[in-house]
Amino acid sequence: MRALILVVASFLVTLPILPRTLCGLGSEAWFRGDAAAQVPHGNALARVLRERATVPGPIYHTGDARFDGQATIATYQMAVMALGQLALQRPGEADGYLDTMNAAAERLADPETLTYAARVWGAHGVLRMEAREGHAYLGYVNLALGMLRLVDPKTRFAELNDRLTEELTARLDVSQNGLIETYPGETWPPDVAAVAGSIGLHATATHTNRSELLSRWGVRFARCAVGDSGYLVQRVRTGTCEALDAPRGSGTAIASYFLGFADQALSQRLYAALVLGERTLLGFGGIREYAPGFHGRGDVNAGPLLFGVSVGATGFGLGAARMNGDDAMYTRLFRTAMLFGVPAQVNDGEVFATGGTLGNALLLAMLTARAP
Amino acid sequence: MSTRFHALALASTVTLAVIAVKFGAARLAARDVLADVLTSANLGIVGALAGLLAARVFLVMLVPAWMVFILARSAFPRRRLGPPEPPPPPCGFRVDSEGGPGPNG
Repeated sequence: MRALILVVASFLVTLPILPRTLCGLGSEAWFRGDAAAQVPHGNALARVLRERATVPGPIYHTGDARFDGQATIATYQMAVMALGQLALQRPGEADGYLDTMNAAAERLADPETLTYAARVWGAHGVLRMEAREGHAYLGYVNLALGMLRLVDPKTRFAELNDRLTEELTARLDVSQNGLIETYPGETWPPDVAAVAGSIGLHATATHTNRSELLSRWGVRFARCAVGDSGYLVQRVRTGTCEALDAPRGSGTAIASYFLGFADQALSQRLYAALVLGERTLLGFGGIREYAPGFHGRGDVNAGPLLFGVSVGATGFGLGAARMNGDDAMYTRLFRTAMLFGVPAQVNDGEVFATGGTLGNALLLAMLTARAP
Repeated sequence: MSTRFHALALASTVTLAVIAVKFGAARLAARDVLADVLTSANLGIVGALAGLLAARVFLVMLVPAWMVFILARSAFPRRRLGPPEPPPPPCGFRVDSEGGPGPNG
C-alpha cells in the first residue's frame, strides 16, 4: 500500500512538470526565429534535398502513383517554403539555400513528378491547362515558385510563376462557390486554399495588389466550404457545396497556413476553430482531426489518429499557430512534435529522426511559418 | 526491494534507453524512414522506429517519476511492524547452541 501511494505521488509530482519542460526546451527560440534553433535543421534539409532533387521522378515508390506524386510534390514544396522562410528571416544567408530551392523548383515544374495528374487530365497543368479544368494541385507548385521568387526576384521560374498565377486567378475569380477541381470530379477545399495562398504570395513577390480579388473569393469560399464548427470541409462534390467528407483538422490547419499568404482574416477564422479543436494533456497539445459531431478513421492527409487527435492536424497546426502569432499554442504543439519527432544530430546539422524527408520538410516549414 | 536495488535498476535502464535513443536516432536520421514505413520494405527499420519512440516516451514520461519514487522511498523509510524483539539476555548469561540460557563456564 505504501509503495503504491509513493508511486502515485511520484507520478503526480513529476508528470505535470518535467515532461513538458524537457520537450518544450527551445520552443521560445524556434518561435522567435533564433538561428541557433532553426539553421541546423535548415542546413540538413538543404543538403538532403539538393542531392535528392538531382534524380527526376517520385521520391517514394509505394506502387500508388497518386500518393507517390503527391508526396513528392509536398516534399519539394514544403522544403522550398521552409528554406525560403529561413532565408527571409536571415537575408544574408539566403544564398546557402538557393541551390536547393532551385533544384526543388526544377522537380516541381517537371511533368515527370506528378504523372498521375497528367494522366487524369490528359496533360500536365504546368505545360497546358484548358479553361474548364481546375488543376488545383498546381497551387502547391505555385506556392513554392512564389516563395522562391520572394527570395530571388530574378529566378528563372518567374515566367512560369506568372503564367500559373494568371491561369489559377482567372479560375478562382469566375468560380461561383470559390472552388476549383484538383482532379476531374474531385474538389478539395484545402487544395484551393493552396491556390489562393500562391496567388497572395505572387502578389507580394511582384508588388501587385490582389487583396480585393482575394477578399471577394474568400467570402464565397468560406460560405461554401467552412462548416458550422469553423473547420474546413475536406472535400465537396464538384460544382456544389455538398460535403463529401467531414470538416477536418488537417485540412483546416494547412489551409490556415496557406491563407496566411493571401487572406489574413480567413486564416485567422480557421485558426480560431483550431484553437477550439485543441486537446491538451500535461502541457502537450494536439488538434482534433474531426469537428465535433463527426467521426472517421482519417486518411493519408491526417496520418495516424490517437484519441481523435491527428498527426497531420497537429503538425500543420504548428504552422497555423506561428502564422497567427499564438506562442502559447505553438509551444504546446511543439512539445508533442519534439516528443515524437526525436531531434537528432547529423554531420551537417539536425533532423527529426522519425520524419523522413517528407516529415522533415513539412515540420520545418510549419515550425518556421511566417507571413512575408 | 531495497532502495539500492531500485537505484541500480533505474541507472541501468536509463543508460540502456539513452544509448538506444542516441544511436537509434542517429541510424534512423541517416535514412528516409518514411520510405520504409510506407512500403513496409524493411521491417527491421519499422521495428527500430517503434523501439525508438517507446524509449523516448519512457525517458521523458517515466524516468522522472521513477527517480522521485526512489528519493521518496529513502526519505520516508518503512516503519518496522510486528512483535517487539526479545530483550537481550541478562549479564553473565550466554545463549547456548540449544537456544536456551545456561551458566557461563
